[in-house]
This record gives sequence, C-alpha cells and structure tokens, in this order.
Amino acid sequence: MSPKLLLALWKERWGKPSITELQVPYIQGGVSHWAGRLAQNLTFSLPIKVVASVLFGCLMLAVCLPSQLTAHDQFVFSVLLLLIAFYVRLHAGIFITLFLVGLSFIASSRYLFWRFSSTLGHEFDLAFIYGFILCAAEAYLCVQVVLELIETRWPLKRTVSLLRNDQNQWPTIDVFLVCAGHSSLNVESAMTAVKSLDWPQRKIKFFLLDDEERIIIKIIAESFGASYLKLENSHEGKVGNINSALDEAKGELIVILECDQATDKAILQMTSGWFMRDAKLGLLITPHHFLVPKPSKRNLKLFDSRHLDQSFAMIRRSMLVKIGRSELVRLPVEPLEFVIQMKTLGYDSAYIGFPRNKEMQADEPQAVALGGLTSPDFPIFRVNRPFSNDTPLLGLRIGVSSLDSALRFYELLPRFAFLLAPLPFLIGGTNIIQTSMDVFAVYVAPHLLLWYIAKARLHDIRRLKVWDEIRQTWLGCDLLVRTAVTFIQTEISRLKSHFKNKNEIKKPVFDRLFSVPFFLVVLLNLAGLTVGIANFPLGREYEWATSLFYIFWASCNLLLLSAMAAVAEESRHIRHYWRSQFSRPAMLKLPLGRTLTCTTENFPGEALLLRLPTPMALEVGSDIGLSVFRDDREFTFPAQVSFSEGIRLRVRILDAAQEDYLELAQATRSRGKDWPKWLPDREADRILPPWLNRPLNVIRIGIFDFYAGFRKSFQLNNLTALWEKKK
Amino acid sequence: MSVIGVVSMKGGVGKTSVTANLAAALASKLGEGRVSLIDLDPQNGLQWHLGLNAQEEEGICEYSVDSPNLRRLLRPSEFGVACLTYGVGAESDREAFEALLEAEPAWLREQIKRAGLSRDAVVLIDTPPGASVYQKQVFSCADLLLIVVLADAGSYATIPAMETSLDEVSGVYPRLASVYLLNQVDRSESLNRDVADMLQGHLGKRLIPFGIHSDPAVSEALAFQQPVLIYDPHGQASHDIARLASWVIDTINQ
Repeated sequence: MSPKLLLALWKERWGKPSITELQVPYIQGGVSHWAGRLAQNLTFSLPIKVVASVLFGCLMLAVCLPSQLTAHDQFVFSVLLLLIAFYVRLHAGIFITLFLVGLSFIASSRYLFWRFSSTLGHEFDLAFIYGFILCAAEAYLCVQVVLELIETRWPLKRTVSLLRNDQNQWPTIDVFLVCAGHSSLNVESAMTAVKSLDWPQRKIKFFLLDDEERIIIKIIAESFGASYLKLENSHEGKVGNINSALDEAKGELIVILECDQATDKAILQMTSGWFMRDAKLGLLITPHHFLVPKPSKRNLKLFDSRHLDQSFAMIRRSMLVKIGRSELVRLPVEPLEFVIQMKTLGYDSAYIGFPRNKEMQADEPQAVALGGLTSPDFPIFRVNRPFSNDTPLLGLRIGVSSLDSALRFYELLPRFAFLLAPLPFLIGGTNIIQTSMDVFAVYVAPHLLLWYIAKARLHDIRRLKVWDEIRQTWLGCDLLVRTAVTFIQTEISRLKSHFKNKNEIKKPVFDRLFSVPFFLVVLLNLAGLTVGIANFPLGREYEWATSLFYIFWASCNLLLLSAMAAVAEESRHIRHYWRSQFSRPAMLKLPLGRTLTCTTENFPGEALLLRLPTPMALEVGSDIGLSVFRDDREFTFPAQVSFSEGIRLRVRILDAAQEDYLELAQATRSRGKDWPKWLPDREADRILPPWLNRPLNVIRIGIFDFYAGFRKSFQLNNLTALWEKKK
Repeated sequence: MSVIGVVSMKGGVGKTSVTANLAAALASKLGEGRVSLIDLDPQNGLQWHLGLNAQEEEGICEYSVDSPNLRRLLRPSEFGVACLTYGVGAESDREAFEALLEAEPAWLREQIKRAGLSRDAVVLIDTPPGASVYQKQVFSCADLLLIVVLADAGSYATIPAMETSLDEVSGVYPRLASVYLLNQVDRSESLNRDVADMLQGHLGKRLIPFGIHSDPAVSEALAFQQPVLIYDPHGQASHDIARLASWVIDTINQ
C-alpha cells in the first residue's frame, strides 16, 4: 500500500476528486478492501481498538479454551463476560458487533469444549450417542453463526463511477422489462416509469418480455415505442431464457427490470459508469431496498451477485452472448450458476451500494416462504461445486456463501435434535448430559445469552431474534418435505417453475403433508412431557433437578412449536396480500370551495380511489381539486370524479397534471434519503466524538487541501512553461 | 399553566378565528374547564365564535375600573372553553384601560397569576393586529407566541417588523417562544403556493410545518356561531386545527 493510494482512498472518503486510477475499485479485492478499511480507521477511529480487540479475542481464546475452571470460577468468568457484553452492546458500530461476536465465540467454544470433554460419559452406550448428537447439533449452530457473521457483517461499500461528459461516448442500453405474471395496469405504470429513465433517447431501447402472447401488452409496447417479445422456452421461470431477446437487442448493456420494481430516474447514470471504466465487468447489481424491510437481513450480501432476480441488474451484452451461445442462459433462475460461468470467462461482477433501486412490493411471496432459509434457486445439492477445480476463480467469498446456504438447508437436523433432546430422559430415563445441573448452568448460560445478544445484533432492527428462529424452524419443516417430494418426483426444474410463477401462488403452499414432521415432533414432546410429569414423584430425589430441567425443556419446545404454528399461519396471510397498499392522507377541494379530508386507498394508482370520512355523493364528471400529502408537503392536482358511492370516491387526475402526479408517485415510491439508516455501519465507525473530529477536520483540510492546491498550481505552471518552451 | 398569545402584524389574517377554533380543539382534547380565552381586541369579536352574546356584561376593559378577580369574569361556553370578553365599555373606559396597560407592561401577567387558575390550565389570548399596548401585554405573559400569517405579499412584508419587535422583547422575556402559523393555505393558487414556499425557506423551523387550509367552512362556522370543528368536522380546516391543537399540546408539554 503506497502513501499515494492511502491518500486517494482517504480523499475519496471525503467525496473529493481523487486520483482516477486509484479510486476504490468495485472489486472487493484483498489489498484495496483492507486498505480502504485501514484508511477509514486511521482517519476516523483509533486503530488501536481494532488491533486490541483482535489480539484480545485471540488471547482470550487461547487462554480460556483449554483451561479447566471449577464451577465457581466458571461462574465468575461467565458473569464477567456477560457484564462486559451488556455494557458494550449499548454502543453502535461494527467493532462493537465484532467484539460481541468475539465474546460469544469465547463463551460458546468454552461451552462446546466442556460439553465434548466432560459431559458425554465414558462408555459408548445409548446415552453417549444421544449426547454426542446433541453436542454435534450445538456445534453445527455455532459454526453457522460464524458463517452468518462473515456473510452479513461486511456489506460492500462502493461508490458511483461518474460518466464522461460527452454523451456520445455513453453506451447504448437495452432495458428488458419483464412482464410475465404482471397485469397490464402494472406493466403500463412500470413502462411509464422506465420511459422516464435519464438517458439519451437515441441510446436506449425498451423491450417488454412476456412468457405468453398478450395482445394488451403488445398494444402498450407499441404505444410507448417499445418492442414486445415473447420469450421462448420460458417454463424454467419468468426469464428463463433471454437468449431469444438477445437477437433483437443490440445495445452494449442490458438492464433487466421487473414490473413491480420502482427505479430511480438516475439509475442508469449511476451504474453504467463502471462498465465504461472496466472492460471486464460483466454484471452489476444494486441491493434490495424494500419499502417494507425484509424480516431478516440476508439481502445484503458479501457475495456480489447472490440475489439477482429481484435487484436491479445491468449486464454486458457481449459477455451474455459468450455465455449464452455456449450454454442456455438461465440468469435470474440460477445466479450462482451464472456467476460461475461469468467468472470462468474472466468477467467480473460488481455490486453498488448506491441508494437507487427500490422494491415496490412488501415481500416476494416466495421470499416469505424460502428467502430466509435459502433461495430456492440455490444449488443445494451441489455444495461442493464452488470448491472444486473447475471454478478456481470464485474464491472464498462464494465458498462461504454457499457453505452457509448448505448449512442453512440442513439446519433442520440440529433443530430436530434440540426439539427431541428431552425425550430420551423423560421417556427412557437416559440422561444425555452427564453432569450436575449447576455446573451445566454456569457453562450454558453465558453461551446462550451471548449467542443471543450477538445474533440479535447481527439482525438488528429487522425482527426479534426469537421469531426468526421460529420461522427458520418452520420453514425447515416445510423445506424438508418439499425436498423429499422433489427427489421422488425427480422433476426438480418443474417444481422450481412452480415456485417461480406468481400465477400459481394462490394455491396454499402449506399443505397438510408439509406439516407432518411438525406434528410428529409436537406429539412426541407432548408424550414426553406427560410421561415426565407422571414419573416425577416416582423418581429418586437426586434426579429431581434433572427431571425438572428436562420437563422445562420439553415445555419450552412445545411453546416454540406452537409459536411456529402461529408463524406459519401468519405467512399464510402474508402471501395473500403481498403487494403493499398505499394509504396517504389527502384532501379534496369540492366544487363549491369546501374541503374534505380523506385518505387514498391505492396511491399511486392510475385511477385513484379515495376513502372519505363521511358518505358523500358527488356528481360524476365534476371537477375537484385533489391534494396528496407527503410528510408535511402538499401536492395539488386538478381531478375529475369518475365514480362516487358512499365513502368511496374514484377520481381521475386530469391529463395536464398527469406528469406531475407520476413524478410524485415516483418520488414517493423510490426512496433515497433513508437508505443510510438501514445500510449498516455507514457512519457508526466514527468513534471520535464530533467535538474532536471537527478541529481535526479543520487541520486536515488546512494542510492537505493547501498541499493539493499547491501541487495543482505547480503542475499548471510547469505545463505553461513547457508549452511556452515548445512555442 | 401555559399562556399562548396569538398575534399578527397585519389585520384580517384570521387571527380571531384561529384563536377560537384552536381553543375549542384544545378543550376537546384536554377536557372541559382547562382552556380559557382572553379577548384583548377592542373589536370584542371572539365571543361570537363560541356562541356567546355578552353585550350587556362587562369584559376585561371595564374590569380594570372595578378590578375584581379575573376568574369571575370568565364566561363558560357550550364548547368547553371559558371566555373573557373585551367588553363594550365607553370610549373613556378603553382609553383608561390602555393607559393602565401602557403604565404597567406586566399587568396582565399579574392578573392571570392572581386569578389562581389551575396548574394545568391553558390560556389563549387574542390581540388586535399590529404593535399595540395589548401586544406588549401578551409578550409579558405568554409562554408561546403564535404569529398568524397569510401566504400573501402583505403578510410577508410584515415579518421583518415582527422579528424586530421580537428581538427587542427577547432580552426582557428570554423564555418567550414564538412560531409562525400559516393560515388560509391554498396550494392550487400559484401566488399562495410561491409565498408559502418562500416563507418556508425564510422561516425554516420557526414556521409550523403544516398550515391551516383555506376553507369556506371557517367563515360559515362563524355565521353559525360555532367552532369549525363542530360545524364541519370532516373539512380540511378542522383537520388542520385539530393537528395544530396536538402540536400545541406537544410543544407546551416540552
């Protein structure tokens, strides 16, 4: 790392014009990434904290793991760890999170070490086997936490690369608007939005892609001057094969958008810059930005192009052609496959953390069902592929990503181990944790508490961790049976298209069949609990604590299982109303000047439906004034009543105001400013307090900007001198 | 106890309507018996908004002569607001009253203190437009000053004068908070919209982020001697008044 690079990185941090060839590259490569972080830390925080926390973690681990403490000492140690954690978690920032995870890791490793070494019993009998399974399950979940941490903790931070001023040099772009499964109304509004993208008209072309021939879409396409293409062989999924579209589209870059995506006007300018800079960049995506945040934070990936199908994606055509000719392009269906092919050809993928892509929908129904667990597209049964020899370019990142996904898929097994663990003792009288309860408590309490704190922190604002666990378990049940069925049918691809196709979602997915393992576990736990309680008075006195413990465990299991049922019920409702409804405060100005406060029911629909506070009959066709409020701002449009009945009123915005209305709709749906709030740790790393930061900045600007200005003028002088010499 | 003064530099901005309607809205939110109104405007018009007709009875103007407890003069209205009218005294009464106010700038504050209102009471004071002895009295006793402006050139032009007089009193009454309230907003009219935006830019956070919409229901309500909240509960003006009341409660609680 040269001083020059450091300076460039650091200038970029402050949004200053930097040395172009040294700008933080979008490739999250080793050196530049760490350099970036280091540069940030040098300027904004005490680097000693990083070093110290890492060293401290390693040291603690080295000391703590093997040392055998007495129950009393372990108790003191646990209390100490917990106190530190409780204090530290009050602060924000990535280091604190890392530190907490470190603490959790220490507690967990101590616990696991102790479990494996001291609680399994000495003979190889049934108790040993049960105990070992339970231990393995616990270890499994710990490994998963670490992987999840690696995956979600470092969202990529990338800047926008500016385009050249000369518009002639800008690339030609083809926008693919995927209409499959969307109503004509949706397509029309999406097309209107896409049409307003900020890009020279002669350099952009629009294509509406559909999986079946629909006249109405064709008419919409014609009215907007777009081409209408029916995709062939599209049973694989919505955009199973865009090869046929490639014959028509000749632009340099291809943008794929879904009809329910609301993109910002500037998105093309924000994203295409990188393609101009790097000829080897094949694919670029932007993160999800849901109007309703996803329940779990798995959409901010470390891996560049994991969830491709719902994000804004820009692809280089030449690369697509290269891949497409050699093999069927199944881009949004199997992002990993696609990326593997891409990387094999030497192309790169990038991910811009710029707030320019927004999701209209609350949650993709299939994402509700499977998103948190694993994407249905993810090659579950090919876990080893990323590590195999034919894809050497992929690197550790994808490896981690797929390993996590694979573990996540089989997560149900350890979960079942937990759910069934009290049964051997309650029914068979086999104690699978061979230790006294007090020692167990001092080991397990810090492990569980710190684990919970760390995991809750990784999920931050999304959702209470408990619910996430519950949801995961339920989805595990669902997926287990689903996969079994899939195997039997050996028609994996057809099932995939079933998940993919929104038209078929109406069928309730949680069939009775899928809940068989769930009810089996419930029954077993109930049986265990009954037997345990019935046997309790018969047991010997020294076993009472153990019995109570297992009874408690079984009751907790039942509680969790019933919560799971509730969550499953919840998801059933969600999938019926997956599109978010838009209710905004509004005001009507009636023909005679009186006003009426009301709310919109379908903003930003074409024909706006209003709910009035009191029944009122308005003449159809009468002119009214409509105000829509957004925060404290008011937007007025002339409108006409097109339907009125009781408290429902349908109005049509007059044509003259349509443009303003669409702009408002666009501005409301596309959100930019609140992005940094949820994109984690954008600002939290500034550990220095503002009162100290400010004077430092003043000094920094004073010294370095003076230096930069001086150098510039010096160069200029040199150039003039050179020029005069030539003359 | 919180005292809210409603002032403006220019006449005809709907100050009295705002005062009466806001008082009624506050009373409906806070409960009966907590909100009182004092009319310091010689026009003596506040009472009409609340369906009172106190032509015969004495108001605050005559009160200065007899000086009984101010609380005894408060007249209850059917909208949960007690109102102290200005009174219809002779010209000489008014002159004597104004001379008294001129001589004792904190007279009203003393009187309100003496009246022994409950701790959670809210008092709203209406004043005549422009700088006057009445306005000075309000400066002396108010916790919150509501400056009513319209989104027109006339109101815009008076803001510097208002700011100057606020600056002058800020040394004497440092805890006096003042906010601007935009009345009769109509964003479908371009001039109104432009001036509103200008005011927003000029005043920033000192302008209450929402104004009261222009609505014929406000003047119609006066004709029926009712607060607009009762007269047309679903109108936008009523909605804004209710929002203003919540905003005022939040502000005085802070």
